[in-house]
Amino acid sequence: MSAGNNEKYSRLEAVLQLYGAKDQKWPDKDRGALLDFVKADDAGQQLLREYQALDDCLDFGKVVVAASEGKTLTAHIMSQIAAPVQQIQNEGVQKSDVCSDFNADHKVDKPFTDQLLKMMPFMQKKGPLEGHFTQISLFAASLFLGLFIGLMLTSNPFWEQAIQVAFLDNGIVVEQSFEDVLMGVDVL
Amino acid sequence: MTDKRKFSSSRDSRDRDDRLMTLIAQGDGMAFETVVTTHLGRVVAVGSQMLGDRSAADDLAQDVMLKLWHHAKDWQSGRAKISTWLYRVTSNLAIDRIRANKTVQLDEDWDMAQQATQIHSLEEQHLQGRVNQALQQLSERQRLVLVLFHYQGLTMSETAEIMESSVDAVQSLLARSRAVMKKKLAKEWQSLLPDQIE
Repeated sequence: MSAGNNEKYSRLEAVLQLYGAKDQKWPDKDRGALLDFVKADDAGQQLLREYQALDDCLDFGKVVVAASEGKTLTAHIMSQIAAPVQQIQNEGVQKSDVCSDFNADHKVDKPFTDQLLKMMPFMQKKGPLEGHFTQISLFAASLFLGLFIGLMLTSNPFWEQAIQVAFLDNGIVVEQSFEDVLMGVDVL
Repeated sequence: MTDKRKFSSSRDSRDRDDRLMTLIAQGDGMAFETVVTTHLGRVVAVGSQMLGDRSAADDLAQDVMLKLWHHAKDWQSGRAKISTWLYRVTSNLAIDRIRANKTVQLDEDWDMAQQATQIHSLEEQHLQGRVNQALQQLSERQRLVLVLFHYQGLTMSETAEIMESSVDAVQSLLARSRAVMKKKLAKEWQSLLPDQIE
């Protein structure tokens, strides 16, 4: 092999090592000269065949995605972006509904004081004896009258003696006044 | 294709991406579905090869797409293509997960159930397992550069942009990555040489 051919062989080897055997990928400036060399040189042809075999071997590692697999994966990806979009849309509708419901529930047709007055009956608390004033006042008056009459009677000496006699009938002599019977409680 | 046409096509593509991202930022589910349908296969493929696990790649792809949905409002018009953004986010998330879960190990049965319908013989299944096993043994960035350049068919400058690195650095990384794979898979690729196939 001549020195010129040696040089071309080395260049061919460098190009094949880097770019592979497909001459479309070779640098434009080298392509023509190297193809001419390969046509004329057996060693060059053998070297090219080796790199073609290497490229063919590497091609066994190619990954091809079948159309059906691609469709399935695409659908899955689209569902992932569709979910947030749908969620946002739904949230928008829900918020809108919520807002309109809220406004409907809280719509104020009349001034607030009117509303407050309507609420007042529910805010008032009745006393336990409210509505029974007449009965209570009559009961108190009759009680007072009864006590007054009672005191008038017991202050009479006749009745005081009669009480003593009543206790004597039980064999017990009690010398006490009506105040003692009431145990000193001032009921008035 | 001339440079002028390339530039025009690229600009059209960015304009279309900008319009889509504007719609997505406004909550347009149809625009988002268009982006998902267009790019999901690539995102899953990159995730699968980076993580070595198809179901984990599906989860990753979902996260990437949802990130796009949630960050659409931050999109800066004219700065990047959606595909570039998606590749970058996928790569970064994949590397984060690899680092978070260093125990992920692949055996020769890697994902065979997933790919069973796409391959035809036990020999091919074996080859697929060996390639993926070798891929998982690369460093994260070596794996990523190979995935983007070889498997996704991106250019060197696109790969560099996604990896947020210089073209020179990416070239160096790619050369090392391919050299490691060539060595690890020597038996396998040699069995594919024309004079070895009956």
